[in-house]
Amino acid sequence: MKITRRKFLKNLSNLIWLGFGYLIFKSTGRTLNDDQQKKIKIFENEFPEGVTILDGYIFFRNGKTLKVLKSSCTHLGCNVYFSSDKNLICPCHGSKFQTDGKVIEGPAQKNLEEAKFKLDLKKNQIIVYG
Amino acid sequence: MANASETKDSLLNKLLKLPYGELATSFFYLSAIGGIGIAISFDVEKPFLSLSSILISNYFATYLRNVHYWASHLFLVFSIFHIIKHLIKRSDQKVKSSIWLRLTFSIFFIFYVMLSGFLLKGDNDSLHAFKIFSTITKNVPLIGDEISYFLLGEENKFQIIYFQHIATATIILLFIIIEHSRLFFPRYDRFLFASILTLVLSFILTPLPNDVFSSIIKGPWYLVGLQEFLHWFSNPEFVISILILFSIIFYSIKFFNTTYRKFLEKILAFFFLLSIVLTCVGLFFRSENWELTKPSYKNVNANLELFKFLKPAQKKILITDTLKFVEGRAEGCLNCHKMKGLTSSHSPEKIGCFSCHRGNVYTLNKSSAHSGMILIPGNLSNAKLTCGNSRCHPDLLFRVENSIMSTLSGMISVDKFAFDEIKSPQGKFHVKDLKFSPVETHLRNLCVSCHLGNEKSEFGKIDELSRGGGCLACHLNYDRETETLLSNYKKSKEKILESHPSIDLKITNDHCFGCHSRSGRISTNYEGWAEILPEEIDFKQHKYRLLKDGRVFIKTIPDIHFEAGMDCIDCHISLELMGDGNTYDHKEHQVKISCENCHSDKLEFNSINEIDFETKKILSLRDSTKSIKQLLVIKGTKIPYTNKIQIENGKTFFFTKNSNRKLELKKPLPECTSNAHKNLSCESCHSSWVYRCNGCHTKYNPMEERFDLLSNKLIRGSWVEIANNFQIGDPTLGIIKSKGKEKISTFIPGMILKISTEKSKGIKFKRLFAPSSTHTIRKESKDCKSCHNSSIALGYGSGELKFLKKSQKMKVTFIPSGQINPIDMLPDDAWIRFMENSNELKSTRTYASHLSRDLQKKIIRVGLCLTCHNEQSRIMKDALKDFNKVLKNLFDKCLLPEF
Repeated sequence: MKITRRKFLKNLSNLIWLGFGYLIFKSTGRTLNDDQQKKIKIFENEFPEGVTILDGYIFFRNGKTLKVLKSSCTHLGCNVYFSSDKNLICPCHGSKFQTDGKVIEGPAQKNLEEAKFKLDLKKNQIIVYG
Repeated sequence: MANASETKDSLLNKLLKLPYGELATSFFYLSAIGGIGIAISFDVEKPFLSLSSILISNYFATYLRNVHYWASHLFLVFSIFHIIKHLIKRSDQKVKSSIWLRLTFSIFFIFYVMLSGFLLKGDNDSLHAFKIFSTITKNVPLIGDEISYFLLGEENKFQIIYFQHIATATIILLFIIIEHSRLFFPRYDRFLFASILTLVLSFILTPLPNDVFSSIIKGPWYLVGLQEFLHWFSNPEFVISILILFSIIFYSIKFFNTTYRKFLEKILAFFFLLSIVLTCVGLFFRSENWELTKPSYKNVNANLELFKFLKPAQKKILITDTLKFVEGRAEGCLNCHKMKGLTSSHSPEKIGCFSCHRGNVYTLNKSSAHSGMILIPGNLSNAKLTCGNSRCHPDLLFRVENSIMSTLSGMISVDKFAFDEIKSPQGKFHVKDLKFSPVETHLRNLCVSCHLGNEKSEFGKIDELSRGGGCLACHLNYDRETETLLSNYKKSKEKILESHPSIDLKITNDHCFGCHSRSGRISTNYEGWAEILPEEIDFKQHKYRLLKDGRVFIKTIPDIHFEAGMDCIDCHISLELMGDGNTYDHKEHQVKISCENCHSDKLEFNSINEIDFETKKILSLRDSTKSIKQLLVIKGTKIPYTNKIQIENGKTFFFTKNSNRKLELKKPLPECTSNAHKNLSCESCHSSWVYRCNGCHTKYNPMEERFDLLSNKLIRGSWVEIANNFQIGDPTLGIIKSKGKEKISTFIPGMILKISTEKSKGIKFKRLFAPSSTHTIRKESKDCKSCHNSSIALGYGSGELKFLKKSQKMKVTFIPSGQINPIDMLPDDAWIRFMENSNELKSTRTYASHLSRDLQKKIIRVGLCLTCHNEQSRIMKDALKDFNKVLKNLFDKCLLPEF
């Protein structure tokens, strides 16, 4: 099939659009940025017994053991908070979790995600990753 | 018939002829103009803050924002009509496929530009919507993260959304509009129509952001259907697939012939109808936490102010005044109200006024600001929006609502049992469930104002006449200055109040007094006041006190803990008073403390590192975290008393909460912990006095109109109570079964009554005694004879125990005295017959009863010894340790009793 010059140039100009699209896509979010790369949050290690929600994380202390969960609902990410019956509830679609992260009621299906953390005993701080 | 179908057709034709597209374009331009207006005052670093500032102080920018808002919503609506119209008219056949492709994308851009505008509000709804869409877009396979970042940026960073909204999406949409319509600008009359509609609507209605404390989180109305859809599917990839499928169907409709096209049109129509249904469900049927409820317009969560521009700021606000910011947004209240008096935990600078009092923060106009206000927050009727809202104390509200001080379960079950409405005084009842049976009317007339759900409807401090008030019943405190300012304010309403009562932990005995000086009268007992009929008072002899409700009390022996400076809350901890979330039948089940926690050879403690969040908070509010290393706990649990504790030289000291008095925790004497008395409660010996009245007369008068304390209005058909003289005396002993153990404790006459009804011919007669925590404790116990030789203590009533020698035994008899009840020939204040052992329920608890015959005998046996032996003698002290051993070594003179 013969392609006219006009058609060829037209297709080429469309390709240029695609090319720009690719460049914009590739440039997205790749600037080196401290905040973006590390995503670390530091907390003082003075949480009391039981559950505390702070700054997007849930701290669960039982004696000397500490567990840190992300407070993002595993359905679509809204932050959970305490409901009146001492469980955790998501305001967006009503998903319920126990205070240790286990899912009780949907639409969420997975338990709350555990966050990786490290205890800095010298400075008595909790360093949470991600 | 032809006419009807003709009119129908012509109506549809008429609708199809309307220029939706040009109107949509007009609204697009109007929205852009309005957008320029607010872009100037909008601060992308703090969007919510700048938006709230604009709404309060810049009416011109607010008007332009309204134009932007209404024009953009009308743009969306008319675009949808335009799309439907052209699908019906099959206009897609007239455009090139490349243009049709861009038009298909434009649907996405339309929703994107609307959503991004919504996200730029920066309020609670926007932040949650951000999370949802961020998660959805991140789930696009392979390129999810980049797409999410490109479209939405990062959490709490609005720069990318801002740029995409005002530049990228707008320019792309403008290009697509011009390309397919071939018009740079709509016709002047259509633009005029759109402008007038927008300008008028913008003047009348101002959309305000929703409050920060609401737990109804809803996206914009045009995406609520999607939110409802997302509720049913836990899989965001599914949603993306559906949206992509829709786009494919939409695009490909151009390329199919009539039969397939009709099928695709039906699918699109189905999508459209489904989204309308889901939108309606999401808007009207979903409330907090996306719970399904009855349809209500309140669920829509729209906050619109009418005629904002006719409500200018108050004149007294100076131009030089700056806006005050609370919770990330401006709060207009604080420009007029500079309140002092609140403690740091509720400081207006931190939490503002809205968080408790609601109203409208986005204005400086008085009537506008005060609309929708809750003047007295903390009542249980509004606590869910005020003290107990999701950001503040929801768990405490749950506990208080289930606490027996709110339900009055025991009060109701005992009254119903006494009047024979139920077989036994047990079961969980709630005061709000009371209807109008004879007993329920009795409670309504005489008893139930004392529940926390009762409304506090007037300003003022909690005093003797206060009943209820929810959280305020305990936590509201007026200092002298605030009280004075309030009384001035009440007289002349001109001045603005500058001092606010405080919400704090200084719960004094005065808070408890109003309700607890009635019924069991433990408040007055504790302080050493005994009620007396006014006609019986002797002004020379008695020191008296007149209460605000007209009752008279005379001074008598107070509880030693009161003398030592302890308040009610020094013993009664918050886990008891506010409840622990469980509902209880009777008050003693909710009570967790006991004397042994403080008065014991072995106290139990918890280290400060083991305490829970609530205790820690209370300690920091009382400023005592630094000086405390350990806390006293309830034995066998980890439940702490939040009082400061100090251990010095082997002695434990306890500090009172309100007055910081240092008190030594004394250990019990050997007599208390001896074998003989090990099943006795401390109160059995240490109570100095109780009420023993049995003369109240209660009558039902069907014609009398009296106040209904529950609904706070007059009702016809009421109970009237007439008091007889109040008698003070010793408590009666009885048995309480708890956790499988039996304990002897104090009882007082409960209801000794005869019931006569029209229906029954006979008269029912009941003698019911009630277990009572006396609150008249003294350091010195009563003397031994006051139980062992006392007919009152044993439950026989007024009279005397007589011992008559009969051969080698002492015959014991009881001679009653005083008033004898003609029905059962027992003294008026008796509980049981001499040596009675009945299985019938004669007390106000199923687990409480009179002393068994066996116990009566044992007690009197010791009483007999006491007729000769001094209670301080060595032999009686030995008897405490091992009575059986003493019995084996009796002299000939000692005679044992015979019953």
